[in-house]
Amino acid sequence: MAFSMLSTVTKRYNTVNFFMRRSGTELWKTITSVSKSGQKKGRRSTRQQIRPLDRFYRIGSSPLKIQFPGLNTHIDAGLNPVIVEEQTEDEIKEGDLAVRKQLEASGMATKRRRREKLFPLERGFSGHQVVGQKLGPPPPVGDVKLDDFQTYCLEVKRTSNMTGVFGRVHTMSALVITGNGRGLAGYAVGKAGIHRTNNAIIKAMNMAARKLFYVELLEDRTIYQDFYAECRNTKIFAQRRPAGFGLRCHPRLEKICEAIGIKDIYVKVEGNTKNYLALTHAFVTGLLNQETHEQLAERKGLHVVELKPERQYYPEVVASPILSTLKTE
Amino acid sequence: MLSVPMTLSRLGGQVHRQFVAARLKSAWIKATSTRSDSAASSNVDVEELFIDPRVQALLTKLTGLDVEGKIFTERLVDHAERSHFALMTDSMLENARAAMRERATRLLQFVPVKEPREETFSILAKDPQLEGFDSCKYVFTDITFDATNQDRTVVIREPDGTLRTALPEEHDRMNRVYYEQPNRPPVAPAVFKDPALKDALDADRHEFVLDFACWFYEPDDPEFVRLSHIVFDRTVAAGKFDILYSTRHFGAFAFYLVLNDNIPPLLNHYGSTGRLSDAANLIRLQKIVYPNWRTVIGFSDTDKKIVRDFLSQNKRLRDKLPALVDLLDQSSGVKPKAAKYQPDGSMNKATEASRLAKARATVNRENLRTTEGPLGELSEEYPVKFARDDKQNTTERPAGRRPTQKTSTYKERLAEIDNEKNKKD
Repeated sequence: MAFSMLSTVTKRYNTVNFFMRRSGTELWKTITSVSKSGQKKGRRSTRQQIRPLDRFYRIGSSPLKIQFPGLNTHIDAGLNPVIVEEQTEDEIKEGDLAVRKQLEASGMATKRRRREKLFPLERGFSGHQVVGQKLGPPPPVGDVKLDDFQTYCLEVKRTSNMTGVFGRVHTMSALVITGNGRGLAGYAVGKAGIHRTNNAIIKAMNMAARKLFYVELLEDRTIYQDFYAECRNTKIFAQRRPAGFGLRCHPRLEKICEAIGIKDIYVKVEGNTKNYLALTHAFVTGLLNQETHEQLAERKGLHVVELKPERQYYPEVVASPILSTLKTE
Repeated sequence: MLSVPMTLSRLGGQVHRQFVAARLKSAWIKATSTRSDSAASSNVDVEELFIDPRVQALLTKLTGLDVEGKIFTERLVDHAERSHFALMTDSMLENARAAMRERATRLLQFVPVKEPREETFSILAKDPQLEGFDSCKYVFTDITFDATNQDRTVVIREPDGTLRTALPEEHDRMNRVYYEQPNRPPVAPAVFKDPALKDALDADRHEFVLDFACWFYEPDDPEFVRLSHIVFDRTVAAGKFDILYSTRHFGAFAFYLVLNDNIPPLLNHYGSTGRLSDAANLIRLQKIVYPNWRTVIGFSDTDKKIVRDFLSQNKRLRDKLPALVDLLDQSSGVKPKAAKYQPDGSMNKATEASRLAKARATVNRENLRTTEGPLGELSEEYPVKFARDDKQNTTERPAGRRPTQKTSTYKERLAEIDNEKNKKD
């Protein structure tokens, strides 16, 4: 069993041994390489992975388990001659368990990497998936810091494109929204290669931070008017609600509202509720076409009067026309 | 049912009470007041006097009408509703406000001032052979459908066999047992007694306590009369007149003070807030309640004259009314510098804070360039300019609006491309 280590051992030409006449890389290639046509047929990651054999090959290890200072143990001060003695039974057992103890101490006892459990409020939409989780602030844009922004990933999907050269090409696409909870927000779709989900999300975060829009909110918590907006086959009916009502809407819209800073709203989504990009487009279009009370007063030339149920509907002027003339009847 | 054994002292108390009543007919005039011994007080019919139109008119004027700050403040609502927004002209706004003022006057209907029911009972029957039938009293309440709470018959059979009518407290308790209403349990809530009452009044919840009492008790319940007197006394002692101002309790409050000759604290309060007319109305009220031939008030006199005459005729009270004296001196000069009435928002601290935080200054054409506008005092130093959006740069839609999403079919898109090509040609 003369396994040659990757590139440290040189080829030998004066031998019949198949393995010694070739380098480590050549030998590994025989097991791991997949042809171009094979890659297209999906055989790319079906071969064995290259294993670092020098890690497994321990110099000085043998069934006899002799400790050679300087070879497989530390050199103690003053090279004392080691008396080769037989291990007692206890020492043998301890030696067998030592590796296990070391692994448990470092927390790597199990072979499979166990993910850290998320706190229930930190969880996203489902399981340990990234969609719906808070992703922190995006990186700064130039010298503008976006520290008070919170990002949410709304959707991660695997898209395909049929090309002439490579055939079917798969890409990861991520829809990400970022917002500061005070009316300023931005959303974008980022793409990266397959199995590069994080890259896609990061690209999307960066783009979203550059595509911000501002939405005026009534009392910083809800929309000014009820609106209807549609995009493709997604229809949105949004209604403003009183303080303390909460977000009663589609889960993706909840995250969008949290990012923008809407705290009380009722939204009914009809048509296709799964096209999250269309959902976002429609909702943002509707928000941007809102009118503040001041703008409404200007346009109509009338006082905008609030009648609150808490005040038994006593009229309270909220906005009056400044530039345009007030209508008289 | 309580198991209190009946004793003879109850019957004795009945006799004692009648003797006292000959001297002080009204429960609204306290024994401690200066008027309690005079002959005038025993002639006063409190209920008749309260209904007198002149008294009602004066009490209405004294109660005031603070529509925005007091009557229609933000209150807790059962089910949260979203506010309604309306577009109004000035005239529509005025009409709406007038309608609300009309509602407010109806909400300020006075709490009736009534003599409390006698805390006595009459014996209907004596059956000594029934003695010891049970260890507790039996209460019989008539719950016929057409009997009102006042009309209802409530009788009690004592363990020693006597059948007697119920005391007012027992009568009302039975009403509350059989005809339950929300927040009206049979047993009186703790807030009507110390220490909870003291805590409530310290937190300036006078209006709440009195409103709750009006809901819970009948107006002629002796317990209610006692409670309202306690609340009024403590209000005067603390000087918190503004809490009851512009509420439906102020009428009873002012009337109570006038009956007990306790106007100086209230007069002083009016003086410190610069309300000369209110002070004059209070003095007029006192003249109607106690028409004293020694002091003369002409009802066509001005407010200032009435107050001045009052002060000159009651020199012993001058040291109790410093603010009023100051006010008179000032008003004879240029202008009264005293502070105006400010709605006491301390009872709704949270709502007041939120209201201030959300304070919206209504900016319109008239006050844009004045000190009431957005620039405030700076507008006096600098001319106010209002920058309009540059109309040339924006499209027909105002800035900030996105074009609505349009999805055209493939054929339409081809047609568009053809059109563009044709245009170029």
